[in-house]
Amino acid sequence: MQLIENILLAVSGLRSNKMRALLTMLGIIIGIGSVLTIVTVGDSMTASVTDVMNDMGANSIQLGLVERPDENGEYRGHVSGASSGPPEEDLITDEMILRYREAFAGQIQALALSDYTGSGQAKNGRNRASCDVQGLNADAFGTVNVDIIAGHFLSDREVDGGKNVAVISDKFIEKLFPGLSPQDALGREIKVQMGDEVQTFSVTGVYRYEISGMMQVMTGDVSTTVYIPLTVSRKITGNSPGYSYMQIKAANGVDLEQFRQRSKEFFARFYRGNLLYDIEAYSMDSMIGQMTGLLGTMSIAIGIIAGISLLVGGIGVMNIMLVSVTERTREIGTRKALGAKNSAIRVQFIVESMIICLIGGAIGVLLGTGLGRMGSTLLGFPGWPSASIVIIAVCFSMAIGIFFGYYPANKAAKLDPIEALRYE
Amino acid sequence: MLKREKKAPSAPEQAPKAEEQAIIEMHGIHKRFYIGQPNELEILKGIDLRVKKGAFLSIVGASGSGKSTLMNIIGALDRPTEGTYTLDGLQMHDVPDRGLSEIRCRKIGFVFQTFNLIPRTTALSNVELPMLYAGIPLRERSRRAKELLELVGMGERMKHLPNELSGGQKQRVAIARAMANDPAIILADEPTGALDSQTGRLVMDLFHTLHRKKGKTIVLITHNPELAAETQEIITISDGRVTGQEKGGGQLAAD
Repeated sequence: MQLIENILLAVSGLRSNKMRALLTMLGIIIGIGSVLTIVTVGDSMTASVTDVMNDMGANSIQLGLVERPDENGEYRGHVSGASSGPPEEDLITDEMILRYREAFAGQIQALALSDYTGSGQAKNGRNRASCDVQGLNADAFGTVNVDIIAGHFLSDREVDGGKNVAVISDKFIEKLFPGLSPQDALGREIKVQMGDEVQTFSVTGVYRYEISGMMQVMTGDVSTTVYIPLTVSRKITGNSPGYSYMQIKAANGVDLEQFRQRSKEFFARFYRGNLLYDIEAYSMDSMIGQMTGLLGTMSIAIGIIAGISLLVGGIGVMNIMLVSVTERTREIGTRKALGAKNSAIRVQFIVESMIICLIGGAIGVLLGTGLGRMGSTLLGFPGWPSASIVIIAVCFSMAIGIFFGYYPANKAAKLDPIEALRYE
Repeated sequence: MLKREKKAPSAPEQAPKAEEQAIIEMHGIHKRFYIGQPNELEILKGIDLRVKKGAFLSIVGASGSGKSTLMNIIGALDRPTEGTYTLDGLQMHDVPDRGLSEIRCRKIGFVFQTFNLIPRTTALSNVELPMLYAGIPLRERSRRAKELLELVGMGERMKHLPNELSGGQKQRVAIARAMANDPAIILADEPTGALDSQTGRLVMDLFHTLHRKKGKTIVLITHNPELAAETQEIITISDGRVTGQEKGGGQLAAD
């Protein structure tokens, strides 16, 4: 009964001094908002990592060239630069791969090689569709994780024979040949303009396009991937016949960590005398470990910041409550003269402080939900904060209100009514 | 089932009703400050006071005479250092500190010189406040507050905030608030001190009305001899002692 009165009174008090109330709440808003943002984004990142793991298959490793540091321990940054990769003589050759396949026969389920051909635009009369063209070997099917709805993926024969075939998305068909079913698209010729040249491919397979959140946000115009045989891609780009990176899927029952170690050692032998490059291999497990580790560190760091913000916010609330108690000394005296018990005064001020923090917390929750949604969408895995974290956040802000409101409220409750009534 | 304890419910302490029903009964009230220190100060030096039920009494005295201290003791805001004080049959000496707020809530209705309405709170809510502290349900609070505001002629302005009211209107709301829990006494401390003479007159008339029609016991603290003369009995305090006790003109007004 008295609680409702106190709540109404506190709200009316806050309304009459909006600016002060808002500034007081700011610390709480920032604290709660950032906690919620981090948790939402963190959850989304975990989901995304798990998703990537499922995509790639947990049973695969990634192996590639890494630069050796020079004598000063510095890197020249060749590998990371997309355009100027390692020079031809340093790349992993087909010869090495062949020997690797022989040496690890029975342990390799698939060895995916890829080559980025470039981006282009396909035209059919007025219809246009932009695309990214990627050269793959037949083994790469397992790593691109697409759902074939018509025809088939690139076959060994097509790759080895350097056939001008392509696997395209249903979205691509929709744009280029409106109304054509995926089945009818098989065998059709598509002309893709890449740079100054126009390449012609015959459609051999169609996959279902799945929208990723990132794409949706970044571009209105959807560019889908066109997969062509690696050999054809090499011809178009004129890239040197070597690889700086590959993905290897181990056969079932193979110890992945051992497989990773031995694969790395195998290729590293070829680079023992190479001053510039070395081989490194990662399994998905180790990458996930790295990412979650990074995420954990980030969460702790931002969590500390959020904690400090909440602490500062709480002290701010306490400060304002102390000011409020002083300002309202006379009112407190009057209330006591009218028969308010000390506990009633204490409850009144604690409720007020709690309401400030609760409103601050609620605004923080809205802010955090918004920012978390934005952040997780940018990461490609849109998510909402879970109900439990929202409830915890709201309860926590209330607890801050009680904790930091208690001292001022107690001070108010202990005021001597005679002194308080005399206060000017 | 719970075990039933064989214990008679303790009967509420029933103080013997004094003849003619004294509401306030004070004997040898002393009040000292800074006790035991070199600057020990005795403000009240043995006050005997007896106020009958339904009386309209005024306490006059110059500033520094001790009348404020006496008022604080009458109003249960403070305790005497020495002496006995019985309010409406209740021995104040026996009331624990925590119980004083309960006494103020139910037995005393304060009216202040500076009105002291709770800011940002409507006239109606202000009048409801003492009833809220007394634990009276909302519906009843609201009904009674409206009734009281009608009584003091503020029925039209129940929803107004204090800063939308004139001084005289504020004081009328404050008087309605003082009446809220039907207290044993109304304790008015210079109630017209912050008002012009015309408005002050209206407030005094209101006290007379409450006294006559509602039979309220009213203790008026003032330094204005003219106002004091309107009451039934005038107690003069100087230097911590009762130095005068005389009948006032209020006797006539009562009839």
